[in-house]
Amino acid sequence: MKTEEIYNTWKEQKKQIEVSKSFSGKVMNRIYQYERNKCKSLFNAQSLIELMSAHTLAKAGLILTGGVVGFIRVVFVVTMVLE
Amino acid sequence: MTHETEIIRQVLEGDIESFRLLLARYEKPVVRMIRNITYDKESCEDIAQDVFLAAYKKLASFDRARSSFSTWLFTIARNKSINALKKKRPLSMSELPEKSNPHNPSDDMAKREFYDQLDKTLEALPSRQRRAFVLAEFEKLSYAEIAQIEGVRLGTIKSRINRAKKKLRTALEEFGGDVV
Repeated sequence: MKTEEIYNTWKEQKKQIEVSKSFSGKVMNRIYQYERNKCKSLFNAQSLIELMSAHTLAKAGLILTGGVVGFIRVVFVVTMVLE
Repeated sequence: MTHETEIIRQVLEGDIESFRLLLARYEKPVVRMIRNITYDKESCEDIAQDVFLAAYKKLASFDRARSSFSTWLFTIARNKSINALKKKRPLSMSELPEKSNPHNPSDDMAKREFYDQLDKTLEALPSRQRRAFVLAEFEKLSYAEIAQIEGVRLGTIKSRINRAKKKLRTALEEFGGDVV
């Protein structure tokens, strides 16, 4: 057997792997667990951060809200000073 | 892949069970990639679980205009593998098995020695070279896809793969062969 054949056989061996039959079940269990926890703590800070980081619209909404609140505050302060 | 896009849409609309279809399609390549990068037979499936859970959590941020789903998923797997490797002591070249005299790899024992030598050499490669080699040679990804996963230029990937092949060739030559 030539070394080229050995090299190719080695590569083929490296491709042959068995994934345990319970693998996808374990992943799905973790996903369902994650969903249950998400429902439980929908309004905690961590889930809010995850929601914000995953959705572009949510991020844009947060920035816009921050901007509007900031603007209102500036207007309020200026009004107070002028009065 | 339109079908894949449809599955992702279903998952995002709340059909969690559809994620099983993505799992069925990618569990083997992802586990194999992690195993060949981390060389950790015991925990490669645990790391792969983390990869799929992370993919599920971030699915809404997947943008098919930027990359294919497989490239996106392999990028998560690559990052998790790197994190796992940081916790593991790297194997240095000096830990490679004793160099034996050149011999004819005709019997099973000799072949086993060749495979072991190649395994050890692959494991001792710098992580970047090993990742590029594994993605190209075992997962059959294009150089462009690997460059996207690694976040480097195409030429860098070509160079890493060539260096990895050269080291494997050298390892084989030391065992009496010369062809990779």
